[in-house]
Amino acid sequence: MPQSVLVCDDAIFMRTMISDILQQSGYEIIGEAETGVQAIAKYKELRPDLVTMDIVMPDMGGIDAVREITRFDANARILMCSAMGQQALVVEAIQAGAKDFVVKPFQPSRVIEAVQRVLG
Amino acid sequence: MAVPGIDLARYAELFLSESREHLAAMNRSLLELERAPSAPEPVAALFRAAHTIKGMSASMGYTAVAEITHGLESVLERVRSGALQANRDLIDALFGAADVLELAVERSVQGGSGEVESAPIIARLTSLANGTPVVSPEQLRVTSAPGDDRRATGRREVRIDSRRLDSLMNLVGELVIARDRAVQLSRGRVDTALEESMEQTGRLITQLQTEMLQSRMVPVSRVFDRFPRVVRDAARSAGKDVVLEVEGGEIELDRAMLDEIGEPIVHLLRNAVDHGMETPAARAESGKPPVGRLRLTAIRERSAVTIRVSDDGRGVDRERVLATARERGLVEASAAELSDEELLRVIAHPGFSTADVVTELSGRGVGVDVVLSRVRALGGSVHMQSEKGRGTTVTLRLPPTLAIVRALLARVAGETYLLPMSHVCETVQLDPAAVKRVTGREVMLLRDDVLPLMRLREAVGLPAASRQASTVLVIEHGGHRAGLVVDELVGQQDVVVKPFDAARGGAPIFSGATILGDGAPALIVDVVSLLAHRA
Repeated sequence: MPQSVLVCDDAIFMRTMISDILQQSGYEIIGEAETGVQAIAKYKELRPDLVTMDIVMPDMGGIDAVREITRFDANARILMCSAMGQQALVVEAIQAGAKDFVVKPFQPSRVIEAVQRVLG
Repeated sequence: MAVPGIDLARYAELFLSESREHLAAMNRSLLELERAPSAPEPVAALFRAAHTIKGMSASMGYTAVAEITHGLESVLERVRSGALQANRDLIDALFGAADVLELAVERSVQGGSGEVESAPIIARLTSLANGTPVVSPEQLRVTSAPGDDRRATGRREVRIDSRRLDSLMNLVGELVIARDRAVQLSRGRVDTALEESMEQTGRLITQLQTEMLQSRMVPVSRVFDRFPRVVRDAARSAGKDVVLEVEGGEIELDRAMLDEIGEPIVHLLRNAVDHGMETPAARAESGKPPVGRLRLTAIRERSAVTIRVSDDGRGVDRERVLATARERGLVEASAAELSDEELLRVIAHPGFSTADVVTELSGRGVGVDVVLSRVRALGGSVHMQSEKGRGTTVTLRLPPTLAIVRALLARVAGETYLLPMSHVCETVQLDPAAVKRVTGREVMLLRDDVLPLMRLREAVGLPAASRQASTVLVIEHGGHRAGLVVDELVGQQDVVVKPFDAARGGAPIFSGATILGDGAPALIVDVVSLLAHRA
């Protein structure tokens, strides 16, 4: 059975791109979220194997969402998606419970490697 | 760097539409920031928009866009941390950056990257940011911005290329025509099964048509969202202080209609700022609040959408307009006053605006003229109310959809012409005995009223016929009535209006064309031009 992924990003563009990359490698996208609040709700509802999480989103940012999700499920596997220049935030996200990170613009091979690390 | 291993062309459309949304949001936030320079929410929203566009553009390999948004981020960071103040200069720079960014976004997608002169704006942003582009976590934590969660609703939406929607609409139109033809062919055959099947097909096509029309509807905010910025810029350059309030942004119009109506509304808004609104000093003198109020309202009525632009400016000076109109013979020399309707007619008269007597209207004539013709071409109407010292209101009434019109089929010299029902009041038999001539023109007595007559045969450029014309259609628009004489009336039906390029040099009395049930093409008569022609 393919492993399931919840994709969280406020840009449809980015969600489409991440979904395409992951689907091409055999993962199943079971949900998408546009805000931190949605990400938490979708996580609780769908219980995905993996979450990809943008840092800057309206409503609630990705780091706060990571905190909430790991409070709910300590084993949640979350991969941060950050832009260049956000290294400090990535550190904060890892401290909050994220397992790894990739930097935009995405290199498909890097994304897949990171996903395999997080799931492995 | 662009991402290898992914077909980027597929993402270009997505990038464009999403970036446009964010650019609109940036303009909204900048206007908010200008009104409340110390508010944190607009800065957070601006940062988010710039950040999102940056992320997307980097993935697409659009370097210019990525650089501008990066510069914006750096400046906004400093505003957020309190190191920079959102003063007038800074906000102007941000507005300027948003404009360059918009250009860069559009150009990038067209493929000609590097054509946008982005270096000056990046230099300006960099100097504002003063070389401190490092982002710290405290600064970046995103606060919530109310009103920016409209895309977060649960409904699932799909983006479709608008050309595909147009071609689907065309196909549905063809289907309607084919149905009418099939109905005609099956007429007179006694076959219950065939009849039932035809009826069901007809119902389904009607449903399909309704759904199709619905799918083309978009909220007017799609176009209205950029107007506050337009008004702000116009007010700035005119040395005035004006706030635009928009109401009814959720009202829906056919996308094609909305595309057409945007420019006329910009005309009206600009006119209101340039000519309607007084300077802050003049407003204070006449006891008005210094900030002028401009309202743009959309209202859905039963069978029309009304768009209203109203200002609380100085209003039109009727006496001066009347004096000029008399001079130029636009009204009778004896006219003592102008009704609202006459006022609009006079102001919209081509060239009227050049009259230097009416300084506050300079330039207005051109705009109103354009607005009037555009709205009429869409099957709508324009009204204007103005009160000296209190302000002016211009009201546009539009059909919510473009594509389908209920029309009467009239025949002249063996050809069928269509008249939109919305402009036909009644039809009467032509009684040759009731036709009189007044100052060389034909008129007819209709229940004690004198109705000017027009012959469609002549209007379409055919010689007068020996054969007796039989029917008069009483057509009306904006208080003007006339009787249109045709050979015979064949019926009525819903017709799908096809885009139509009028022959050059010909009388502009047709607004479109359609294909009838029997496959023959037919022209749709533009009643408004026809009446204007006569006047």
